[in-house]
Amino acid sequence: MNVRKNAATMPPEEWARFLNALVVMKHSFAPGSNVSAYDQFVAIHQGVTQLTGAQTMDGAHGGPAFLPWHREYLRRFELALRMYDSRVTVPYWNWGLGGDAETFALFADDRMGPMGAGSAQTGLVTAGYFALNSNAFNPLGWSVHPALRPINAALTRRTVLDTALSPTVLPGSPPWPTASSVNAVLSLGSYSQFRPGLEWPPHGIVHVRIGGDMSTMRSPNDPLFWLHHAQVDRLWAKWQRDHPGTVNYNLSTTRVGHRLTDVMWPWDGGVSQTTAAGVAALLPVRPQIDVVRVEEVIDHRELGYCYDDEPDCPCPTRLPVRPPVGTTRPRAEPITTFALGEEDRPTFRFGENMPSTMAFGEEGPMTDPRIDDPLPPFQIDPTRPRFNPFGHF
Amino acid sequence: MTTPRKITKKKAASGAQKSASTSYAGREIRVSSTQSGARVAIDGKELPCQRDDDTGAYFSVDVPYLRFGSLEEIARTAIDSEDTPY
Repeated sequence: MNVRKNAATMPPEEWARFLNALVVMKHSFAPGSNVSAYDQFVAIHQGVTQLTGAQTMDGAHGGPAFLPWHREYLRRFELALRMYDSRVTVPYWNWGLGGDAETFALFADDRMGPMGAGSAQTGLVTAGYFALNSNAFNPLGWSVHPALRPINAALTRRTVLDTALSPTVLPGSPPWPTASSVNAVLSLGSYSQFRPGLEWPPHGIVHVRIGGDMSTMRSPNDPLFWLHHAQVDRLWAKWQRDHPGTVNYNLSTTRVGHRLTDVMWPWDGGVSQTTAAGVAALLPVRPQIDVVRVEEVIDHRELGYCYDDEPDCPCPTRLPVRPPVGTTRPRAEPITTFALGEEDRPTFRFGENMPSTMAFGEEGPMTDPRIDDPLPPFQIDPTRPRFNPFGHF
Repeated sequence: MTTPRKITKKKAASGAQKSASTSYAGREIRVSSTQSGARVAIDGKELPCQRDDDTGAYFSVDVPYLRFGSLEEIARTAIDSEDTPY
């Protein structure tokens, strides 16, 4: 079980691994593609907002599938990130504590980097791992893909993070989430109330208050997106524990792509396509068999992860990634430096063994319990059809 | 910086389609309702809008992450946000 941890209390060593993996992923490319593995995820989020085919609306926002879609999206991102460091999980940013010291600590240079500099609403992030120019944290720099940015190559955020209850950013808009407002959402009795209650305002207001890239549908350009949505997913998981049974999803919706048994773009076998400008060319190629339905992601534990504050979460823990002696673990080039018996896969560090391009290979069973169950970890049956969860996000 | 916005309103109705136009910051906002649903256009260019399944609130990819009670409101915000690069 992968454990997602609170960003505020995650040890510095784990922070460094997480940030390092993000940067390596940003500079790694899928086979035959000039789009980085990271940017492919950004394109997916942009793409899902404008669909045609079986779906004709936003497949991930403004409907019941908001939470399931982002759960699967975040899970796939996390699996992809673990290709670069198998000990990494996406931490959650508990913004429900309001504008406290922990929230502001997140914006340190050695964490998620500062707010923007310059333009009030689209200031440039100029320090830390996600600054455009190389620096001590990130010798490679962090630039937004040309097709996924409106003006700047640099990541952008507002210059000030306004967490006030009477905000000056978007005056009159809902305040930054607090413990009481989050608890109010968690107390909503049905999914039809809870989902929109969580999507707006708490989820949306964090996007717009961070501003810059985060306030666009290209929001995953800003790695804060993942921490933000881990928190959204965590709150959903929390709500689900208190609301089991049939009330925990909207069974009456008629919106295609959002019903419980619907497939979700882009994991839909090709029944829908995106019409978002410039996005299609950036998307990863996915096989037809890569299909995920809403109902398949309702239980996050079946997906192989939990949150560190769940009552029965086995935390702190680290997954046993050592393959049993005598087993083979298929791996893709160039990540073949892994040796059986080694405790963890290698961590790519700048200037050392970081590949200039990285192919996505087949991962061990632990990465996707839906695929490999009931096979025990690392007991791979070569006769059993498998698909590669990393070749098609 | 946003400047004070001047608003004027006109209404028109024809057949099955009803429409109302509003002037806002020198731009024309036209909201029309047809049997297939309501639409809004700014200076003749349609603004892609959708409604939340559960609340009925309007939202648009052009003004992401916000929710609105009316199409006119969403159009005004879209015009205001033109002051920024996004």
